[in-house]
Amino acid sequence: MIHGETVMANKKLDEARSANPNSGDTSFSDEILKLAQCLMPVAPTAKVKQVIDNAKAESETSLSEVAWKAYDSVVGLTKVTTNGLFTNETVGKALGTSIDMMLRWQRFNNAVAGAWFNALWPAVGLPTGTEVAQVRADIRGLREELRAAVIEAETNDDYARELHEAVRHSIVNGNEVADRGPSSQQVAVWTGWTDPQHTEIIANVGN
Amino acid sequence: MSAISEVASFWMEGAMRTIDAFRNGFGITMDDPEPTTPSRVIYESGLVKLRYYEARGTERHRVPLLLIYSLIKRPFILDLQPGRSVVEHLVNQGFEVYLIDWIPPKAEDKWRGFDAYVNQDIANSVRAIQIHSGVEQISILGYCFGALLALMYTALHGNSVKNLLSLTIPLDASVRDLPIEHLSAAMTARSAELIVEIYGNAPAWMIYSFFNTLAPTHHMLDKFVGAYRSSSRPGYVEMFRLFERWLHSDVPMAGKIFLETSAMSRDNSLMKSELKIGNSVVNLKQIVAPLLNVIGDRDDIVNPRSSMPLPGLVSSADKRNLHYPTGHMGAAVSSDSLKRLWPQISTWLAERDN
Repeated sequence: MIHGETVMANKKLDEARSANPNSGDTSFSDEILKLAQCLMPVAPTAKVKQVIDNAKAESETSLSEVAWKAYDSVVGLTKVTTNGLFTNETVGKALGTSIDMMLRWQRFNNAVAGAWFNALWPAVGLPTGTEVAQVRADIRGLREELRAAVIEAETNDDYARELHEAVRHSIVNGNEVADRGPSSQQVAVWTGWTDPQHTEIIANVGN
Repeated sequence: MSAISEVASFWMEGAMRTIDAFRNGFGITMDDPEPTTPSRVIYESGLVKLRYYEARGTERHRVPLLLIYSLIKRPFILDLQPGRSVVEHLVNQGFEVYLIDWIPPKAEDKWRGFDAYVNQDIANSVRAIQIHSGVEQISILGYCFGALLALMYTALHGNSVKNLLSLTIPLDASVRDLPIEHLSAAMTARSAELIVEIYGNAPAWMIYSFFNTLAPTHHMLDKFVGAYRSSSRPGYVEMFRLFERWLHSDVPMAGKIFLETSAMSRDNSLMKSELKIGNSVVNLKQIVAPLLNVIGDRDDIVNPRSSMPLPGLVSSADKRNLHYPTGHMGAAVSSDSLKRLWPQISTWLAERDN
């Protein structure tokens, strides 16, 4: 059943891909042909006759249409070229190597700049990165304490407090989470919810 | 002349948006546009804010639905505009919807890997939904990278999952047709390690640049020309601006999960049921919940051929692929998808509500 569906899907997919300009399935020669057709839609003599025969407004409209078609072809051509570049194995390898080289250069720069500024900051009386990080960690700790206090204050009615505790208990001590290890000891923070209709379901918690 | 000046105006606006994003850290500020559907945060822990959207109408479904979006962009794309909102559609169909609104990781979160996201954040959120809704088994819908997380969670905690829906899941990493697949393959294990060594997390600007490199003409010129050409269509420009805002909402990826994803992609380990999370191996055969695997046939970010094998890898009796002629984001924002694709998805869910 699944195989059958997949075969059908493959067919649909091929149809869809042919209609998709980004799929990378249109060829370079197709796009060149389209561009040529846009730039020279009719033979030059016929074009001259057409320009003479038509009113000015009409020819402006047609010129605009031709311009847009030419634009679409150029864009289509660029897309095909870009897709071709990315799917080319040699370009892929070169790209991979250049990403690696750029990252190594960045790491070297960071190390040099780090050593330079680590020596400079104390000399001019400014804190180092580590010291700033320490202060940030302290502030974060204070924020968490404050948030816990705010929640405590906001959930001071018996029902909400009871529910909050149920969630904390369920999440921290539930069977599924018992073996998570120390990094998972995150206490649930309940930020709202005062609808009394849910009171009765506390006992059904669990998987 | 008018065309040139209007395109230039769109281009300038886009350039300013990009400069702003580089300066402010893309989606790190979580400065989302006004939501279409009202929600409230009912739970917060780890890097999760769990949003609850109440069902509307008289016919309400029993089983709640959890939406898990990708880690690398803000999820407001799922609730973009009235009439162009997946969340609004689901709520109007009578589903109690919960959304995991991922909090962007900070430098100190670089240790977070699949274990933290799947076994802690998603597991805790599901537990909170169980308590909030009073229902023991819930439906889960994962989108793109979120679909991978949903799949891992279902394989490891299957008892909590009633139905599983995956949208545009990048499962089979051995498929190499699209430029994005070749570009990803160009990144070596050493490069990934260097990124984490230098930056801690994979920076948002790097993720943004990666996706933009894939279609330079589109991002530098063609999308602005497209905006000009369609500007007479009602609501188009507003939609274009919202979509652009979302395109600039990249958030960093925690260092460990970036490395794990990179390794998973190289080894194709999830597809082979060899991926290890915490102390457990993610064996897709352990999934028995009904599965609907939605595939965008015009997707140029996730190759449809990469998503297609999923039903064949799980043990569910009720499973199928649903193909739809749309692109990667078109599945969430195109009016056609909201008229034709999402009704099929909500009907599938409603039929499996008991």
